[in-house]
Amino acid sequence: MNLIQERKNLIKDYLNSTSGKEIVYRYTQLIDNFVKEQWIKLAEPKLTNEVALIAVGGYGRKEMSFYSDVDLLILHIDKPSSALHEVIVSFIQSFWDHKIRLDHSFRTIKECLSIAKDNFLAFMAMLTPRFLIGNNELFEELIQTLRKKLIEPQKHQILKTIWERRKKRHLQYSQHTHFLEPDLKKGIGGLRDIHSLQWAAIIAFGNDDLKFLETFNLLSTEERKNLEEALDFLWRVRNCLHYLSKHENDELSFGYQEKIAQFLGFKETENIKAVENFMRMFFTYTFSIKHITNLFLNRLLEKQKISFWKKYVAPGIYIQNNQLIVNDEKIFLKQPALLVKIYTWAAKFGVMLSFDTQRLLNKTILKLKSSLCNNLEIRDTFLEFLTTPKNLLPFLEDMTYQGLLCAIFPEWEKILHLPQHNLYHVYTTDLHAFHTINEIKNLREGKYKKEFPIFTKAAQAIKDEEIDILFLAAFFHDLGKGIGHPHQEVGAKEVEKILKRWQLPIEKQKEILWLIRYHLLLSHTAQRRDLGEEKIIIDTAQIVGNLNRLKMLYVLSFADAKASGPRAFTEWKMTLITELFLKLQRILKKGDFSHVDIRVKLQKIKENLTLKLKEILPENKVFYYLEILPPRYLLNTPLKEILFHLEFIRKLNGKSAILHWENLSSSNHYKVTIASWDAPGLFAKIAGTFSLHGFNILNAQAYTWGNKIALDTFWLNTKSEIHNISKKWEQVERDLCQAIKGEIDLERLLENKYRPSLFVRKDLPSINTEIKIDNETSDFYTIIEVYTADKPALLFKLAQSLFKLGLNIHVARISTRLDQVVDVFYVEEKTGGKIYDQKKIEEIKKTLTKTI
Amino acid sequence: MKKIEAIIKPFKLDEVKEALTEIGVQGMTITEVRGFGRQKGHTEIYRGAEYVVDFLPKVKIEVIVPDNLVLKAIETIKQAAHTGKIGDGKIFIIPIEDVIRIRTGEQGEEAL
Repeated sequence: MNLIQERKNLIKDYLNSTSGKEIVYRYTQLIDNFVKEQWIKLAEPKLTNEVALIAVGGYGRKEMSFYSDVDLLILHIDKPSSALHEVIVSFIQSFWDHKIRLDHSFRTIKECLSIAKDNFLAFMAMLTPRFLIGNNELFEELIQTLRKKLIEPQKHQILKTIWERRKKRHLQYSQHTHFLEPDLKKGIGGLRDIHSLQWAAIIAFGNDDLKFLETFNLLSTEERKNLEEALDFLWRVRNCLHYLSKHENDELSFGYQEKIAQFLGFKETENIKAVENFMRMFFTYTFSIKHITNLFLNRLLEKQKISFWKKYVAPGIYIQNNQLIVNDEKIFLKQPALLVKIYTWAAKFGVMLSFDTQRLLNKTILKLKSSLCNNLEIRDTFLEFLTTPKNLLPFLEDMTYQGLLCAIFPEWEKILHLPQHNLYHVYTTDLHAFHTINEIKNLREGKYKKEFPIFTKAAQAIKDEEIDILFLAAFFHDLGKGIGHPHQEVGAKEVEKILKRWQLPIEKQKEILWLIRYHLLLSHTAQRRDLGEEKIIIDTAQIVGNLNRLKMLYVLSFADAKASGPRAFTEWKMTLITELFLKLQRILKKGDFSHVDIRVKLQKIKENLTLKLKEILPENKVFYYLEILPPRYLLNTPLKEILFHLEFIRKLNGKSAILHWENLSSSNHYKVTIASWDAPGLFAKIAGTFSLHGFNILNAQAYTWGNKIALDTFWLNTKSEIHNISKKWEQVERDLCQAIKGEIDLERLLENKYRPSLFVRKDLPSINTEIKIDNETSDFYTIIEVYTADKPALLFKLAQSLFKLGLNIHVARISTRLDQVVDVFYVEEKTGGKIYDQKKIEEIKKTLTKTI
Repeated sequence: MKKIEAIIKPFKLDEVKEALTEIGVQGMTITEVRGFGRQKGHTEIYRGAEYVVDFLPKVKIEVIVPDNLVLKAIETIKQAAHTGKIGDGKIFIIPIEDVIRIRTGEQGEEAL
């Protein structure tokens, strides 16, 4: 037979088939035929008695995708003839020549046993053997010896190892990258989970057929069907992945996600992309697999050790063997609120629901479904559950699996298993909500006390009787993501229906909806606006309205970012949000939203400064400085820093620029002050010099004094620690002076430094560019916001363009929105004032887009 | 096709090898080498001349991979060989003109 041609035919069939199972089955058969044919061709009949060819592992299970390894055990008798050795060599070579990856072993029974003892995976591979050709007695002997010597004596131990290894693998695959680009086999809820279930079934009952397990009441019909469907889907995806990547591949990377979605015919719906619909189905199935295998393995392990000790938590409900058991069939029908209450108990005592209890729960939910969503007792028990100070993640997941959440909140369907196709959101939208709740709990319990004391204090200051407001807001804050744009608005509208149905006090309803509507207010304002400007603080304070809300919003902002993933949560972002929080708190405490008369404030600052300056300077100098310091500088800079700056600029004497740096609390973060002589394009030159030395710019403030001194402050960070940092700053200062004098060509140097790499991934979700121009928010400046994909020296390029457009930059803030970077500039015309000319605005947009 | 040459710390060899096999890299060549980079060795004056006496022991891995695996392979080596300390090593990427399997005479990616 021509295997390569046959495989091609099969792939053609696959393209028209909808069953994953059928294809892996047929490909396995193809390999079977090939193995037998090659063996018969190469080996004389008498040699056949010396061996048994056995399919093991995935091949044994008949689960071959187009490029899977062929796991072949060549079991041989004790002293095989030398002729056999020769045959084996050409036999193995024939696989290579047919482009099949063979994972073979050549062993005696004794060797099999000793390897199985050492290598657990090799042992498990031998649990699903299939006899292909050769000496059948030898094969039978292996099976019996394995069972007698290895399996029977230590059943429970093996089951435990299967469980432990699964747990360890899940931990390994719970890193964020594995959620974004899951591994079909080893990821959470992947094929390996089903293998674990099958291995355990073989160890315990000698049979891993799912229907067999159902007959013996080890799986419910629902579970068996669910597993079969999930398996078939995973195989379909895996076949597709092999076909598209043309080699063995289990990693569902971004590029393949998009291709497979298209391939399997997923379509874009309302506001959900085709690839998101595909991944949603993927996560739905892996979620089921994870839960069913979890239950199954737990049950097997618990069966092995029976303790008769029971602890009753309510009549008919008790805890035994670390499981919560309900033994009254009717109890849920009589008291539906118990459906939720048992989860509160389970969380409190740290136990799982027993298998039978879960089934009973499931049955009841199906029966009562429509009546659960406006049951007020359920409302109260759910709120009690949500506010239980325990990690609720496993229980919320369990409620999802049982269909309880969607029964209580039919609206929850909209975000059920819904992923977001970007690098920013690690979890599906529903899981993200669960994590957000958990992070609030972590804050309240003081888990982040050391790194984030102010957040912790705010979280702990929220009163117990009001915490349900925050939890419900956190629970529902992204519900709109499954409905439309903007998700805060449409989400709030949807949640309003739930809260009305629940008849929560109007006051609470109002607060929850407000938090949902404004859950991005703090993080957006903090990252994109000049917090030194009073107007923005007062405007924001007016939106927030009172201290209580502020605290809740502040805590929610933290938990939301933390629960999104490492790209969304940076220390810098938290610093900015905290700065904004403290400023808002001050205003809300005073309760005075009126703009302070700036002239009065300025006068006061000047008086204080005069007093200080008189101590160190002669009178005429004091007067001089008060004249040259610009009002915005005086208003935004603490007195201590002004005094420092005055001292600092004396060193500028004769130099082009001088630099002062300090290390901020966290490592790799720096605050750098630069004094220089004002000149066009200075900001771009400074930004370029920092990029040249590998610094990221996070934030920048630029002032020009009346005596032509430019005083700029930059907040920077670096990816990795720098050895000998003071020397590094000397170099930066030297290069900066040269750049200002025009002795080095920054543009060329940066181009050289950041040559486009040949090895950049091209399959990541695409990122759009958008430019917004805002003349409203600030009293003095036009705000230009640039949303685009991050790339090296971007800020330099943008600043250079703005300079060429004849604009002065006063503030620059750099942050992120999903996968985009957001560079925000506060600019004014060279001659002063905002940009009102529509033509000029269009020109700015065009030029910046071209720059990017 | 590219040749990826990685100089790594000897104790990281197993990890790197396993990780590469996992992503489907078939076959590799290993050499025990000695050398130094920025980490330098210790220098010593011996009879008036300066000798570098301490080349550090390293392992050189060479793999040839088809274009669609290059990125993955580099990322894999980077992750598996990383300790974050000085002397983690380097990765070199070199274009390959052609490959020939001697036994069969196959050429190109087929021969990998």
